[in-house]
Amino acid sequence: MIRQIPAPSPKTRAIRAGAVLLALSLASVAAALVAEAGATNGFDLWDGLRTVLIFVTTGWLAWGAMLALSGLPQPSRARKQVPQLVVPEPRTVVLVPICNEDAVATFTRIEAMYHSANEAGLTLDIAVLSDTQDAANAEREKAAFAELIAATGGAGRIFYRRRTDNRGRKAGNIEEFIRNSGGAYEFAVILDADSLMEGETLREMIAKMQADPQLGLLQTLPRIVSAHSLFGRAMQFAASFHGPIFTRGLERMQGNTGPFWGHNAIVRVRAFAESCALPELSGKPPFGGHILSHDYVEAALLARAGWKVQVDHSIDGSFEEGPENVLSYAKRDRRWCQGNLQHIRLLWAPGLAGWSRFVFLQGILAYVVSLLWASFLLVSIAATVLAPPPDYFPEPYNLFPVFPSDRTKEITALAIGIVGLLILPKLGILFDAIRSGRVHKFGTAGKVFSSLLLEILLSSLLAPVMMMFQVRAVLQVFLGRDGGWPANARGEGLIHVWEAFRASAWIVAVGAVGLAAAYYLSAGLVPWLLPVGVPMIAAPLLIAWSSRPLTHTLFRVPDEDHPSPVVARYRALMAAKLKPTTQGGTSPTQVTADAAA
Amino acid sequence: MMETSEFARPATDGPVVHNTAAEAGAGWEPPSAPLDMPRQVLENERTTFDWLSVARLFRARTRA
Repeated sequence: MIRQIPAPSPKTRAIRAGAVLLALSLASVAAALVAEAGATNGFDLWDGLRTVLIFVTTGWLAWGAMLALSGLPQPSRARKQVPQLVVPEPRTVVLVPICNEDAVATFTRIEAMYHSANEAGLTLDIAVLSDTQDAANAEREKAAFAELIAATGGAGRIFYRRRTDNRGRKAGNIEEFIRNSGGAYEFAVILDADSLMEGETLREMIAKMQADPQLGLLQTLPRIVSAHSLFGRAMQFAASFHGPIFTRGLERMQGNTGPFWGHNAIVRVRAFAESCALPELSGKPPFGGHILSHDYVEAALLARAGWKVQVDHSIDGSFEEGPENVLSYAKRDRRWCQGNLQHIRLLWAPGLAGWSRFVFLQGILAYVVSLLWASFLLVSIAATVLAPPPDYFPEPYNLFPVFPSDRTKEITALAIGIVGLLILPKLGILFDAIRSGRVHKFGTAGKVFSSLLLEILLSSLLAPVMMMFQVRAVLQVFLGRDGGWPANARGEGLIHVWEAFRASAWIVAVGAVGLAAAYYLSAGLVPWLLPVGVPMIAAPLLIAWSSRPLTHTLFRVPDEDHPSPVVARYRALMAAKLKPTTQGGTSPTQVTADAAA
Repeated sequence: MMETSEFARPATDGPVVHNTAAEAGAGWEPPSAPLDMPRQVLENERTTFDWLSVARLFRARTRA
């Protein structure tokens, strides 16, 4: 049977069309305002560039706002019934690909999930697929695996395999398992080293896959847990508070051509095997070679083969950890940037669904837009500096002078509108949370509002710094520099000012030189550039300050007050392992200290 | 029986073998159940850029 690419429902089509039209309309309004302002003293090349740049960048912001808008309407009162697992339980394996991770923490998470799955009545296999190349780390993994088997009695159900040739990285790692053992399983849950999932959640995911034989992949919305720093907890709060609404909007817009984020998802093994063996792209990295951001491509390939790919924001009990500071975030973002820009090669891949191509385009724009914003600032300065002097007598024989019209109000309105596109969706989510009562899971409405304001302030301060990291990443990729797949910086926390300065001195320099140049060329522009320039100059302080631990009651999330059982179990197991032992031999503390070193 | 996509390359990767570069931990007994994974095609064979493909970029492609 040849499957067709799953067609979007009329409702999905309508939501997509509405979102695209509204985003384009808002972008057109912004472009018209800039074009009109530029035309007061003659429309030249710089005005044209500014108009195009503001059209694209505002359109992108508006698109993000549309995701929130699409997700705000509450689902119909008749809640979709959660299907029950049909026995006999289909054979399912949990895959945990790892590479140079903290072995103790990783295997402890697996232990917590193993117990949780057993308590949920599941008999899952768990396969730890290691690509660790460092021999010392590999020994720690073997030791941690042996401890895990001893603690759980899971021999014959928990496996550990290490590849010494990590061809294809994570995608190749999973492919190797599927090629050798995939025939034994109907479903595979794919996790990251820092993932945690409740046994009941795994049960629900398997049941949903059973209930829909056309479903090739089901993606959950993982919640960030265990954040400690100001930056980490702000991200954790934003993901927990805003994430479900944005994801609901994504669900409604993507329909059956949904996303795969590489982890905390379940796949139909047969579907994955027949459609997801990724090729090496011709040419050298960063645009050729192995596909770095393989998850988006695998989702597109599943859709191409006629399988449904869905994200479900309502599935609870799925967790991950996030970066604790700006530098860890930037390091991860560099890989994602290269991976997404590599998708430029795939925009014309044969047979893909139109929406899959649009998803690739969105991923590319997510990074290129930082370059466009930076270009807009530079072009705006150039346009102002190079503007011709006003012509008071544009018509010959005119007795009375014509003064250029002042467009300050319109440009101010444009600036407010752009800020509104960023803030209004978040306020909309807050009002929706108050109306539905969801806000009480995060504290009082006042506390949540304060958290929201602080999150907006922090993200506004850090936005220019993040923009510079992304601009550098985009330029590096376009200049052919391969960033590869550096080891994940999980658990890295406090950054000292000197370390932050070493990492961001170039941002300080760009900010200082930029403001100085603007003051020299056109002092009137400086107030407009301060919201960008000052955070850039203060980058080391912002990076260091936001990496400090935060124990305040702000940014509370439900998981902090009432952690999910699997998270609580993981923490208890880790606490027990990190206690110093009274006997001889290598203590868990030493093992963890070695891993940290 | 697993279906073969029209976008999959013929199997030229050789027979499926266990990864001889892999090490197993004690207790590693994965079920030996090989599953074919045909390599997917993501690049067009054409060497020159087909400008008409721009027009087809966002049109959903379905097969009968």
